Amino acid sequence: MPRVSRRTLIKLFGIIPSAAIASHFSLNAAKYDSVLEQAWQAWQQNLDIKPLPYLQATKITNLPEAEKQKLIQQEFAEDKVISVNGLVLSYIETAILAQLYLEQV
Amino acid sequence: MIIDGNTIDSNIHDEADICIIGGGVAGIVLARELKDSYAKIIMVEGGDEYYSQDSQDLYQSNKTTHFPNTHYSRLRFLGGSSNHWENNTSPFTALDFEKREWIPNSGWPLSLDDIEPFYMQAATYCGTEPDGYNTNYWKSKYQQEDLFAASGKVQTQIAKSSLPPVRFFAQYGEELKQTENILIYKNSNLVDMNYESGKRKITSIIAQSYTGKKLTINAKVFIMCLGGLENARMLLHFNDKYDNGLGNQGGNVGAYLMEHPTVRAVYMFKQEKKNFDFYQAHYEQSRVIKGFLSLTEQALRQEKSVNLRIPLMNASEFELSAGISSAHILADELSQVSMPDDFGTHVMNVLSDLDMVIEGLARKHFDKRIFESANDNIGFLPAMMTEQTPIRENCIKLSEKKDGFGLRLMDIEYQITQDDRNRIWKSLNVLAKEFGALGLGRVKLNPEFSSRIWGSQLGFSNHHMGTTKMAETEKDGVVDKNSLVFGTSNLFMAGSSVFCTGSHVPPTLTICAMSIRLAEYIKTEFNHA
Ligand SMILES: Cc1cc2nc3c(=O)[nH]c(=O)nc-3n(C[C@H](O)[C@H](O)[C@H](O)COP(=O)(O)OP(=O)(O)OC[C@H]3O[C@@H](n4cnc5c(N)ncnc54)[C@H](O)[C@@H]3O)c2cc1C
Repeated sequence: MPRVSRRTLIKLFGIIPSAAIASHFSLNAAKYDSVLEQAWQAWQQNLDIKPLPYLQATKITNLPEAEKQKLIQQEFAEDKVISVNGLVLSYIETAILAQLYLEQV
Repeated sequence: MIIDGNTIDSNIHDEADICIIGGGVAGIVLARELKDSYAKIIMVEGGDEYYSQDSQDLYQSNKTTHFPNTHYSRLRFLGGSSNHWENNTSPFTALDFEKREWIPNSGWPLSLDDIEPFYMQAATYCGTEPDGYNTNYWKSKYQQEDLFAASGKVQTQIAKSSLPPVRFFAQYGEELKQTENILIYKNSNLVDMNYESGKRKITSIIAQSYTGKKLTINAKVFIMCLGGLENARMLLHFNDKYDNGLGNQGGNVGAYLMEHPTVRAVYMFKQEKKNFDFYQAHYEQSRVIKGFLSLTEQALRQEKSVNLRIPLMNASEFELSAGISSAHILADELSQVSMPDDFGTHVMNVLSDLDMVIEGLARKHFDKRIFESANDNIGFLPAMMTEQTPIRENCIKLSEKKDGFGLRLMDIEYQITQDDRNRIWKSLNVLAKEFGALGLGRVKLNPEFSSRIWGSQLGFSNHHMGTTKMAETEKDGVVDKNSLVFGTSNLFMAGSSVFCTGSHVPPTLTICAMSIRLAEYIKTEFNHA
């Protein structure tokens, strides 16, 4: 799970660039799904608001990569974090994953 | 000079200004520090100059619940456990000495200011050289980045070790043997002590050899340097004989035993673009210097938590696989027809990490590697040394079973409390948030592996501390702030048994510093030659 979520993060935020990501996800689609689902559950347990409104409120969707990172780091510093199966992620990160889950189901 | 207790005439008497009992790290430092100030120093050592089974077997215990086997976790010959230590050193911090209201029984009757003047000399003893542990100094020297310089919560500390490790008797023994006013009796085991309660004075000790020879030593000052467990065990014996008059007025001898449990409880995924070189080994001619992480004083106060020593040990994708750990737990539990806690999480871990689980099976059963990426160095799997809260219930007691000299063996009662485990998780949460806030990567806490973290994967550091604790009064401890045993005027304790709390760093540098300090105190209090 952490590896997948890490890869998901890579894909979404470019935290750790790596060429292997895509092949891993195609190898095991279940991984990707489970990460999203767990993020959704974590989001539900922690926050009332839905992921999309949260993302819209942070205006993160269209920001350049460096600014996204800054916002995410700020969330960590402000204690806006959620444990997704132990992996400590910021609200924004979790919201993006949770939103992806909602779009899938 | 060195004399073999096995070959002396029966029942001899000897006399000295200072009698040091135990020739390990503390004993050797004390002998060197006192030798120029007294006419005669006797060191009484139970072992030989090298390993011997007769001596080592005396380190057996009767029962050691949840505690590493004491027969192997220390060495009983000249040089003591430095004969197999790793020589890792860092100084304690100011907060370590403070009374922290969130850590029961914390607080020393000393502050860092009392010990700090002796750390540099202590570092020379440990072979790590007196150029200090200042993070900025080492950062500049190696032109490395301190990734946590801007953090108020996590800091970079420095660990130094000598290469090869300093074996204290191999290093300093020849000099001691050549020193005219030092006499070492080897193969001479402390078995008894004579105490005049009216004068609050130890008048003599008795040591016995493996051939049954007895040696009685009179001295002005006696210093017990038998290591963190044996100091308490022997003092318990003498308290049986003297009605708890030797530091046991408050029933504290043997209590407050601490170790440094070592846990692997997080996976740290690093941001590839960041340079973590400061946290890897920097080799110099005869030593290694390395950064490690810990929590700052500010964070510890704020979170009311304990500190951790977090070395950034490189780990591959394969090593940071939650799926493999979960597969182990599931296999273990299911083979015993029981259901693990967090069953769903484990199944999910396995499914979502299937490629690494397959890699693990392929490696184990077919000696084959499948996924190249499994070996990629993607982060860190730190084995973290943790500070343990001193509690009375963690203790050494005397059992009914006896050793070869008719002295009762130890029973050790020991546990890592749920409170301590909770505090460790709390500190790890701080680490996880700070890692993200600084853009260094992400941290996964692994509470679902608790059964392994606190079970088969739990490590110990072989640091035995706290059993003859220092305190302001005899109600709360065994020795005063100068390591003088309460109820006596001339019996001192040296070594980590006097520690009130254990910090998150190894003890021996501090043992050396405190031994040098003790020598200074003895020199001011007891007439010189
Ligand atoms: C595997 C291992 C690795 C370690 N690594 C580190 C490390 O990296 N960093 C660190 O700081 N610490 C480390 N330590 C701990 C370190 O070795 C001890 O803190 C240190 O040796 C304690 O010094 P001491 O003088 O108090 O006791 P010891 O060195 O144990 O000396 C006690 C002496 O007393 C003698 N003795 C015992 N009973 C009697 C008796 N009845 N009569 C006469 N003599 C007796 C013994 O033979 C011994 O010589 C490690 C320990 C182990 C086991």
